[in-house]
Amino acid sequence: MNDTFENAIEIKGVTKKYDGFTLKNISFNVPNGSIMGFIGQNGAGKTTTIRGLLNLIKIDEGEIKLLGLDHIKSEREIKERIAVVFDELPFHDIFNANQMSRIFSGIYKNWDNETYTNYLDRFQLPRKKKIGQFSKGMKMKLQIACALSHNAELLVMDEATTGLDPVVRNEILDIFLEYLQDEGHSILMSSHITGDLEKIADSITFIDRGQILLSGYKDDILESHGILKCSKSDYKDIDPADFVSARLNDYGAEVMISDKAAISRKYSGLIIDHAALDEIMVYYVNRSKKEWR
Amino acid sequence: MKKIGALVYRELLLAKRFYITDILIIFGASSFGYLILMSMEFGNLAKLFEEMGEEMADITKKSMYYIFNYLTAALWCLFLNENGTSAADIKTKWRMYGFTLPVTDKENALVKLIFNVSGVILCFSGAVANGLIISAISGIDFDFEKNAKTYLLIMALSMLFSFFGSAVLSWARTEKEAGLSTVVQIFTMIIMGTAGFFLLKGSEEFSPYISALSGEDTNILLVKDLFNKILERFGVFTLPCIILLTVISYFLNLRLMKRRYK
Repeated sequence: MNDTFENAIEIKGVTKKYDGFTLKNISFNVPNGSIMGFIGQNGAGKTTTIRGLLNLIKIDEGEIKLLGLDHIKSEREIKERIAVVFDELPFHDIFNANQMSRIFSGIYKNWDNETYTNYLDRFQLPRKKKIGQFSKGMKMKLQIACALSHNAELLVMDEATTGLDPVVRNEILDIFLEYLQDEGHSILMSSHITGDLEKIADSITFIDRGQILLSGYKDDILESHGILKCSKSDYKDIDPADFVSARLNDYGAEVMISDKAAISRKYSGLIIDHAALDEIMVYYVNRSKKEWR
Repeated sequence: MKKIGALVYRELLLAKRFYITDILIIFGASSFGYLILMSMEFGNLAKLFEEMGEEMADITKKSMYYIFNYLTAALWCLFLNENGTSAADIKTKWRMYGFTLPVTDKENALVKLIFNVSGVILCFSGAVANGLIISAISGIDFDFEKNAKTYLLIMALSMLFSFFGSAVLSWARTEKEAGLSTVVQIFTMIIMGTAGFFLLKGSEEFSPYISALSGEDTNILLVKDLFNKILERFGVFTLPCIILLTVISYFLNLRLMKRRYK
């Protein structure tokens, strides 16, 4: 077992080619003990990247390390120490929570039935009711209860909060924050609900059309980016190299900038507003058009 | 071993409803057979046979014995087919989720092998038990060797029919791909049936029976003779064929597990 690792996930130069889509030379790290939000629009490559790191698909090039171990050579050990949560519950409708516990207690060496029972109680999940009769929120809670009951060091989630109501989402986000209280625990959370990630993520990686556009600490990204609101005449004076893309309207333009400090010095008279993650995402997605409405 | 136990438990839970359905079908069909045979021995049909004459009654009784014996044996072959768990795993995405668990491909393939071998044992035992019951009811001696050979022939054919369908299910990753399984099984049946017919018809050993069967001279004794010839000719291959298909299924599952998703 490799106990000394700086990053819970290390992805270096990963490429995967499909007909019509390529994951191009992806690289990013998830620091140990942190939560990374993995954002991007549908079809950007989030799920492909996650499937690659879980060895569900074979990557064409690159290197992936989970918990300091090679994701293929040490696959079994890694999978004993990680947990995965998908957007849909992959358990059969005819099973119940007790039966799932019996299955997982045989599969995981470190399965802790007490922890599992505590989660069931906390989430108010019935133990003998068939999963098929659960609501979407209950199904997701059950999946999370199963994921967190074998002392996993890394939690990988693919769109786990999509489709849940805000109350359930908040409840689940609280659980993740509790999970992160243990310094040895890390989370990679793919989502296009950027509001959730703004609340809990330490770092953000933004992928678009198979390429990483941004990767870093969330606070740094939010601090460096801003929306410059200007009139048509002011907009003409802005050098296109100074912004990501601009949303034009009848009165002027809203321009996404990636270096707030430098731009505020260069264009001192203009107002720069705070940019939220979803706004940053939208402007980056439209970067090739440069100007859009 | 604990992991295998957990996986077998999961598979059993999942297969339970398929097994219950299979057992109900077999029980229903065999009960029907038992009642008819009982009626032929002790009920209304027995009176009818008395009027038929001894030879005709004997031929009819034996025909019914063989039909119910082997038809029920064929129904027991339901346990040789893919029990529905693979398709259900694809539908719920457990198949994908399963790859995120600390379970090796060998362990996964071994669980499938355990179910395949159990299916073979269950099918054979069920067919023998049914044969014994039918023999006891109809008063016809149970010829274990001949019946066992016949059961194995039926099992081998059933396994061949379902083999390619199961292979598709092992390969399938999406619901759409899993749906191909039934199409493949139907095509396999058509191709094997056609090939079997021409093989028998073209062979000098079998052609007199086939010709007679298609003419006016058709009777149950000719069918019996043809079947005995087939058994004599191919019976030796059935057990090795069953073992071979079971072993191939294991390696096929193993290879397909390693392949993962595209």
